[in-house]
Amino acid sequence: MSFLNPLFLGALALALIPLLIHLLRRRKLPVVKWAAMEFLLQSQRKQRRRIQIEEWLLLFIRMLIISCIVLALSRPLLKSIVVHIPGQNGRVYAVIVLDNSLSMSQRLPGSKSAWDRAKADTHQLLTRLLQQGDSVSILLMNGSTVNLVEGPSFDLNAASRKVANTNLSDGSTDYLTAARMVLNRLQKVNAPYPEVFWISDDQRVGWPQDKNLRASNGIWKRISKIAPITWVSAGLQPADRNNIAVHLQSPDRELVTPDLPAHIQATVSNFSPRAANIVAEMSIDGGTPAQPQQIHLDPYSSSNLLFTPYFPTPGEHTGAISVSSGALIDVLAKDNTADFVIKSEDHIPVLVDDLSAAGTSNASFWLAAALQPDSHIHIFSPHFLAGTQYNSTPLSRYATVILTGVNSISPSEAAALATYTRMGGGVLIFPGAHPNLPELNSVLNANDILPARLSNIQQLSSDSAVTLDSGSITSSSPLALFKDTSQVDIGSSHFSHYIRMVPSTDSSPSGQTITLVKFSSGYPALVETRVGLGKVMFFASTADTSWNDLPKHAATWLPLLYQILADLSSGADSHRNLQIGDPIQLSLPLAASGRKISVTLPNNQVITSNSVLGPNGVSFQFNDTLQAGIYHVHIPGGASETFCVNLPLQESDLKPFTDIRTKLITAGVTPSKLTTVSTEKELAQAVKHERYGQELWRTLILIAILLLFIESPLARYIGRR
Amino acid sequence: METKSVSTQTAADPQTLARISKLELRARTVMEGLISGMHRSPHRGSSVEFAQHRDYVPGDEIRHIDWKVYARSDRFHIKQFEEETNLKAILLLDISTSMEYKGQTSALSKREYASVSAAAIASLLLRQRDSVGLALFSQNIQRYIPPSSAPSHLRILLDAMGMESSGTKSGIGETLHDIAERMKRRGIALLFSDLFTDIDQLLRGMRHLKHKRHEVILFHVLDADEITFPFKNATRFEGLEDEEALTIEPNAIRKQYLEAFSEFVKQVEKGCREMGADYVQLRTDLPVDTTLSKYLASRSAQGK
Repeated sequence: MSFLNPLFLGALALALIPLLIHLLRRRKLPVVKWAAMEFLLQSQRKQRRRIQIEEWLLLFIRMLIISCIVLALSRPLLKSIVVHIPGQNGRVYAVIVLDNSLSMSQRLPGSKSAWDRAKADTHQLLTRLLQQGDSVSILLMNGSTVNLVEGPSFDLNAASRKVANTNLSDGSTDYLTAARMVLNRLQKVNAPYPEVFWISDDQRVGWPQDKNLRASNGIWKRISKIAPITWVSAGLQPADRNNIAVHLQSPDRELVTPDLPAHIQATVSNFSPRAANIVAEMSIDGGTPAQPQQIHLDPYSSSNLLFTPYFPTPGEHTGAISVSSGALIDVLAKDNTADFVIKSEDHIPVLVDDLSAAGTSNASFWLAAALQPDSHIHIFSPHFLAGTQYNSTPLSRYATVILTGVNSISPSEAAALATYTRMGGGVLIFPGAHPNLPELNSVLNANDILPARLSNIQQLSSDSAVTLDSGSITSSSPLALFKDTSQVDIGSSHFSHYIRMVPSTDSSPSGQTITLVKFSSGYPALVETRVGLGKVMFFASTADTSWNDLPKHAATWLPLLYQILADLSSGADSHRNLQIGDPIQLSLPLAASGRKISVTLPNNQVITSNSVLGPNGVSFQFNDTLQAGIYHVHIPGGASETFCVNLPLQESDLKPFTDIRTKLITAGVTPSKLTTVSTEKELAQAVKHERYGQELWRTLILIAILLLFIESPLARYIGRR
Repeated sequence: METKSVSTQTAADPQTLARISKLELRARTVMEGLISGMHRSPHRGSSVEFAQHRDYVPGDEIRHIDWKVYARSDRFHIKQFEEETNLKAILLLDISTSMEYKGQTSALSKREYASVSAAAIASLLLRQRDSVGLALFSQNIQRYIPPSSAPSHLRILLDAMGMESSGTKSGIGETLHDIAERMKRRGIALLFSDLFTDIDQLLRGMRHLKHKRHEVILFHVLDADEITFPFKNATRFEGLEDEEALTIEPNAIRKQYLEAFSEFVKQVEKGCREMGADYVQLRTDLPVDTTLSKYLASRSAQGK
């Protein structure tokens, strides 16, 4: 037993007050010369024993009440009997988890941010609470949890300096990954006196869900078995956590032409318990925000906005959608702007190759009519070939290759297409009216450019012809804009013949197959597979009118074809708009092999890295995208590519756990091993508890109150009987 | 201990005596006296010697009115005779130390209160030309004054009542036996005491008196404190008769005390009732005359 305020122990003498009062009262009692003594003696003889016991009991209770209060003031600490508490001899190994996610930037006007407070708490831990000889590991929780100080490091001052120089990331809260790393550290170091300090804003959305929950609970349980956990809540009060945010959905097309507008879709959210009137505006290339849109959002709701800007000047363009909240105090400013990058070219060069026997298909006609509708709009610059001449044609000149009337294909042609695709090209395949399915399966599959196995040809009567099902389009699909049938109804065309396709079950990222749209019969109509940096799409029906009437419906055929081609054309450039943590990937000319590539980060920091020559040619990958904003990749020779990294949506929801202690206990943390604090002072006390034991003042005050409740009726009972 | 004296003024307070004189004390039992008059006597008719006249009061027998005086003065006078009554009364006054108790709210100690009451009754009896004697007792009889009806006898009685307290316990039983032996003729024994003694002995002594055909009137003198036990704070009680001292929280034992005391009073009352003795409780916080007047009125109503 030790005491935080031992000076108060002197006041224990106060416990003698009731005894002194008792004795003094006896000495100064009034004396009565009494005649009827016989009756008093007779009554008292019956009661004496009981009265004495009760009086001493009352006296004892009173002394106990004073003792409890005095002891509570002296803040006693009870050492655990079971667990050895490190005292002056034990050296603590502290694992500190510092929430470095975007939500930690929450702040009320004129006050410190949660991140500032978290850093102050960490500084206090490292410089005042941990002692010489203690060691530390520091992890930053930001979605991809990194070791700031891998440790165990005994240089606490150096660790403190590192924390001071650390900036807030734009990453998301991920308790599970961080907990895994903490457990890993604890198991690896196996220190005699480990302690875990978790400094966070208690954001609820970062907690694992569903299948991860069980794994998470197991990890927390194991951590608490190894080390006591001190949880430091550094965030704002729940009622103050008002936040509005804008997040960009992936642009439907990142490559546009002066005549093809971009589709910039943004989600505006109100993460606050009050309704908000929000104004959203868009600015292009650093210009003045324009096209304001007003939205009224109820508490905890969101709304989608669509901006369709044209980019008449070829080149890379950056833009931003920003929101302002009016009267609502928004505690998280950074998610009020969402950046995007769009590339504009004069025309999109497309190679159309008709592989059918001459005169058997009119697909080229319909494609030409679609790609060159009139002389005023020049989105595509198509080049038409008949037969397989592209062995000698440099495919890299084209953004997309359309193969139509494909009944069969030679291995060399397929190999050329595969190479083109891996380098970032896009290929769209339309079958001919008489396809040799076994051969196509065999040849395309051998070159890894077969999105789905071609099963058989489905022939239908005109009565039972199928249509394209807009309901089968997923919201993340490049065809997502056709989900809304009010503008374009892709279900208006009828298909009497189609190839039944069975998509590949390969789930590796490179071989991943996506069904972009299905027929009303449920069979895939358009299937996509990624090949290297490019994509291959296979359409289940012909591009002429022999199997369907799609080309005749210009209102459907044109937008559908444009959207498919815009998506395929972006090919290697299809990942300009990224999320935090997504890698920047770039295919480069062979000349760039082994050259140094520099990347300018949103904070103007420049990081240099090498390009790599691989099976898909020369490529460059940059993984350190933990900051939101615009990244510039400088390629030797003067060329530059622009990328944009956007904030995670979930991080904008600042809602904390109702009760973090209950949450952690539910997750398996042993209650006695968990301390939750929210101020620096409480943290200091908690550390002392960990070192010296459990504080008892609450228990003592409770006992004193309980005794008071006993004392009053007892005194009344004894006094008034 | 301070000498307790009862002054003539206090004991024979004219107002008190005037009120009591309008009521008449009548012996319960038939007296052996030969004198006819206010006391019913089996010996009525015997010649007696005229002593004096006194004013008529309602209740006097018509036949005792002196009609000659009425014819002269137009006022009713009663003829009184030298030996109208031969009632012998003995006042038994407890002077043990327990009688010295005087409550904080009381004006008189029990001893003083008993003395005043006894003196008033003595005065009354003497005015009626009854014989009055006095016995002061504690453990036993400390002083005995034989009954006399001489008017000057009152002075002797009052002086005797001022006798210092004995400083011992009261032994009422023994005293009563002694008195029973001393009283040869039928009479009245008026006992003034707090009765803090052995009740069985008391009742045995009273029975002895009754056996001798004496009337016994028990004046139970009590202080209000003894009846209500009003103490609140912790107090040290020291016995007046050398009992062991006791420090107690009065609240803690009040209930038990009141029960025991009430039981004691009930026992005494019951004993008196059973042997046909009058029981009169005298509370020292009540006016002396009120209680006595009330008792005498009740006796008068019963035609005693």
